[in-house]
Amino acid sequence: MSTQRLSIFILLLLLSVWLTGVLYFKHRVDVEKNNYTQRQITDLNIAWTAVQHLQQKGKDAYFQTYIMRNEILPILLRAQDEDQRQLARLELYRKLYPVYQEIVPQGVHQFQFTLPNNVSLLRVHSVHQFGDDLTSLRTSFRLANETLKPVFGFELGRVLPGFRSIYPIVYQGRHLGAVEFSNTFETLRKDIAFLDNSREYALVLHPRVQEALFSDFKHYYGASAFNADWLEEDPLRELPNASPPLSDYAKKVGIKLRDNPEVKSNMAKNQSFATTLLLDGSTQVATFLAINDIENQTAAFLIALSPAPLLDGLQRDLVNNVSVTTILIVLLGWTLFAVLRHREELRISATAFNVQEGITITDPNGKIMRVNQAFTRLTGYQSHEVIGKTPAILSSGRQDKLFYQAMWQSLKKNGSWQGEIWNRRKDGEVYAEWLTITAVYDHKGRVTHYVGAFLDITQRKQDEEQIRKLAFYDPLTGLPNRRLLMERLEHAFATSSRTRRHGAVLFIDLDNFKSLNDTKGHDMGDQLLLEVAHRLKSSTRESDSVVRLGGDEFVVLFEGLHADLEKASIEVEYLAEDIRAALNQPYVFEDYEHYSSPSIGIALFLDHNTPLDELMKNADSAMYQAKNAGRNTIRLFDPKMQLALEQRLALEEDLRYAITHDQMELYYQPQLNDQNQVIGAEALIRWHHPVRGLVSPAEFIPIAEESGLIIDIGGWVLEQACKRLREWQKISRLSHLTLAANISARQLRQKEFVEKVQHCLTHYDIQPGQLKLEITESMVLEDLEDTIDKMQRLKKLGVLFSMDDFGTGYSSLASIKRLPLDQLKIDQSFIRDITGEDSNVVLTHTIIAMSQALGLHVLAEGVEDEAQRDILRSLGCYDYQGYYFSRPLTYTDFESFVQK
Amino acid sequence: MRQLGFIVFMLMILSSSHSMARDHLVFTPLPMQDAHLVVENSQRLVAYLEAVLSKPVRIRYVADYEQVVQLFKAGEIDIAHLGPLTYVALKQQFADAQLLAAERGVDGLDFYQCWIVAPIDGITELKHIKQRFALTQPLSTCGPYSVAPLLDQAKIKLINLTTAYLGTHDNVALSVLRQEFEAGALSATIAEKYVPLGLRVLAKSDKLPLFPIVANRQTLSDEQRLLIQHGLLSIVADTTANWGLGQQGFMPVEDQDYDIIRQLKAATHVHTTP
Repeated sequence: MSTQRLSIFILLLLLSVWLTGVLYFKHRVDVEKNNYTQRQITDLNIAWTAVQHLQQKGKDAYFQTYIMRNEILPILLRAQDEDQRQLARLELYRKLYPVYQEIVPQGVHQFQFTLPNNVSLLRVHSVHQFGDDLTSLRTSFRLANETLKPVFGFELGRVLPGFRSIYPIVYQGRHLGAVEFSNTFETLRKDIAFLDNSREYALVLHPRVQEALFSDFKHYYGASAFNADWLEEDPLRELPNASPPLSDYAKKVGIKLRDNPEVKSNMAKNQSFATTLLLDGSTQVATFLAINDIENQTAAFLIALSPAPLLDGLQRDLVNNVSVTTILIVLLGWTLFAVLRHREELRISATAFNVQEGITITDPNGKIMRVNQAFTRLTGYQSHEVIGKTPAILSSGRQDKLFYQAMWQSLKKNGSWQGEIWNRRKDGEVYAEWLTITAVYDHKGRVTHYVGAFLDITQRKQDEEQIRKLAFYDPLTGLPNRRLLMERLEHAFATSSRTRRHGAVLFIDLDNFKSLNDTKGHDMGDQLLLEVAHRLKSSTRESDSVVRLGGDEFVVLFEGLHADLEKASIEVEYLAEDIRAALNQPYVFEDYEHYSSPSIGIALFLDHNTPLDELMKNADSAMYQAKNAGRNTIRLFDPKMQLALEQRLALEEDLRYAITHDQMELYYQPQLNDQNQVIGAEALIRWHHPVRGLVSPAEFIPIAEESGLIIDIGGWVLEQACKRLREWQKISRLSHLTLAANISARQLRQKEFVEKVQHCLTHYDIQPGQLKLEITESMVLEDLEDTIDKMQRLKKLGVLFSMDDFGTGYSSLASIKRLPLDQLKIDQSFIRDITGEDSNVVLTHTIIAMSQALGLHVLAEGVEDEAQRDILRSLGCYDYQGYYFSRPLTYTDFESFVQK
Repeated sequence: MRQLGFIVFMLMILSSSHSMARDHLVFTPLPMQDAHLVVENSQRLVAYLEAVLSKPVRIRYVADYEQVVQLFKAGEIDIAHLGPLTYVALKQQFADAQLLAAERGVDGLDFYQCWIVAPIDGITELKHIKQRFALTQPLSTCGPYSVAPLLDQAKIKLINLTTAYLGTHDNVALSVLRQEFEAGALSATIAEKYVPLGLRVLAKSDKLPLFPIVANRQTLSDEQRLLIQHGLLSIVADTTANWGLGQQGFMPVEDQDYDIIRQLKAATHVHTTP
């Protein structure tokens, strides 16, 4: 049976039990009450009967004492004779008037005689009224005169109704009539009150009482206080021995009963009854005893009034019993419902515990106390394998310490934690779960348990990943699509804003792709697109984004370009060129070789300076420019940059031409010692542009570096240096000089660099110690081991090494020590201010001291005046180079300088 | 002039009737032994007067004749049902006592009479009276003022007899029947009740005026008095069953009708033994 049905059943059962209990107690009270009231009626009846007997006995005595005596009976005998009757009546009156006076205080109010024929002989109480026939009105007289037996009971009358005691008078065997001693009801009321004073009594008379009365006596009757339809005798208390007025108590009861339908109804039915009423908070009982007259018709009701403490007690018992029953039933109900609720909670808990979620219950220390079946299903661990252990048994190691610290902080602060976590199943498989941990507290707020519930969301995550792929990636190539590009662009904008470096968007459109699709079909087109995607990925860094927008349109997003716009433009130009070159390679399919070229449009961005949409539009626009320029072309969106780029490309082209067409020339800047003796020179390249004239190395060397021409240029410089050294060997004044040539990083990185130098040395028969190669700190640091290796190999060939621009890089002393150097060249930036700034003196001195400590020669470059030379000399630097001594000179001028 | 106007105004206030100060009129019935019965018997007539006057009328029972006279004079009583002797006494002291009508006797009798009675087995003539004589009340119509002239006719002086005032006419009759007195005087109407039992009539008074309804001229307006008088005389006996007072109807009466009472009173020196 369901809990709800069981609850309803129990509720109904309890209600039934309660109702039965209440009804039972009510019934018991009703029975007791009924018994009580019936007892009241019985008691009253007994008292009434006793009083009547007492009255009879009293009247018997009256009759024998006052009537049946020789003084009276002869008079009555004479009264039988009509002629003597008047005097006999008068004499009888005179004889019995004292008796009447005597018995009136005893409650007798009617004292009269009739003749045997029921004709009134004398009414002692109303002497002027006699001679009327009472046969029809007074049954009592009729019976007494007929049966010659006393008659007792209530009866109406013409003067007053009352309790009649009629005695037939027989004298000397002759029936002389009858005598009546009649009491008012009040007399009997007093008697009964005397017998039992625990109650208050009242009499109410039937309305027909008044009908029979002589008119003079009608006024002695008024409406009863207990029932206005009935009569009260002598309400004004006019009659002798009148009862005292009704007490306040009786009056209050009368007010309550006067309009009581039960009272009216029962009295109308002439039946005895008892009723209860509440008066001033306590129960009263009013007992109505029907009093029949001699003709057995109800003539009156004797009313007894009394408090009914027993009924109050019963009522209290009822209230107590009902209260106790109610409390017990409520308690029972509460208990049962608590049990039911507990059972329901257990059922729900049991059900909840065995849901699809894995559940772990731990103690406050995190030791597992219980797990559910889902836990076992999801983790592979049986409950006995994990109970007593911590959930760390599931740890995959993917979350670091900080993650768990944050989790515990949340648990302590909020009482709960939820999130995604990677765990490991028993079989080693790592899976993702959505874990919710809730702390359980006791009433003092202390943690008693932790309940962890988790769902395996591995599949969901895979689905999400799949969805994400579908949403963000091109299904054909697997490349990110436009949506992901937008996200990455937003991210790139943010990064650019932070790093202040440029980024670039390359719009790439394949030339003539449509014709391939049209002629070879879409499959071929797809293969081409796949290959393009592959080449684009291969041509870019991992951090760059290659995106397929759709059709034959691709986008490459570059980040981290140079902060300077122009340089960034150049940088991206080279990157685009690489892409173009890659995409220009023939595409070889199974039986077909396809040639394709791209048109590339570039838009650069920095920070959020260009809205995303506009950036895309710019790149697209640049791409169309490229198309319009004849395809297989790269176009930068910014016209200025485009112009600068074009100029630069032209310069690069010129430089390439210059190398092969003898536009380059080496200049020689002398290096002198402290004795002003030339000890060598540094070869410095100069470009004699046919149009622009002498172009500064500062302008073309970066282009040469970026374009890779630096290798050719470096090779040319090395060869020219060796060639010059060969010439100097033949001139005595120059033969001792060393010639320093700068080598670039890209030169040094060449695998065959050592071999190339060796070839030069060999070719020009250069003596050891004549050629000096100048390297920079940054070159060394790119690949220290490779640099050391190459330097050592060249060192063995007699090549000297000088560290150029020393002090501007970040090379460590340890790395310097490992390099087979011969000389350090103090950067001119130290020298420039050496006469003014103490710090530079200190630094320069440190460099000099360090060189000496390492056993290296030290040469100061950029020496421009005598003071600088003097300070350097004072610091221990004895070799110099700079304008103070000489500018870079043509070969001819150098020879002259040396000679001079 | 202004001062004169104020005095007239004050006199008007002082002379205004007591009844005007009250919101009801006061009726005092004939005092008898059973006060409740008297009050009850007066209820129907009082209700009738209320209807006639369109004003409430209350019953004020006063047991003593003398007190009735004093209250009437004081304006505390507006209408009274008096015995003839009481009326005469009142009229003598208070001229504004105005006769309105007199209640008819049983069977429409238009006169009142007093009898001297004795038991049938007692004395047979008035002159046989020796000692004990029963009376009702001193100011009763059938009291000393009526009895003395009758006894005088038998050469008997009331003052020489042992008299007793028994209060009511019935008590006089019953006491005589029980031979507690040789004779007694009482109203003819009451005495008649006991004749069958054994009373003998020894003497009858002259016809005396009936019991009048008297109005207080000082407390009632002319219009009110006329209304009451007209109302009383309009009562038809057939319609007054169970009325009690007024059941027999009323008849016109004049002050001179009571001269006989005045004469009796003047001729009699009353001496009573309590």
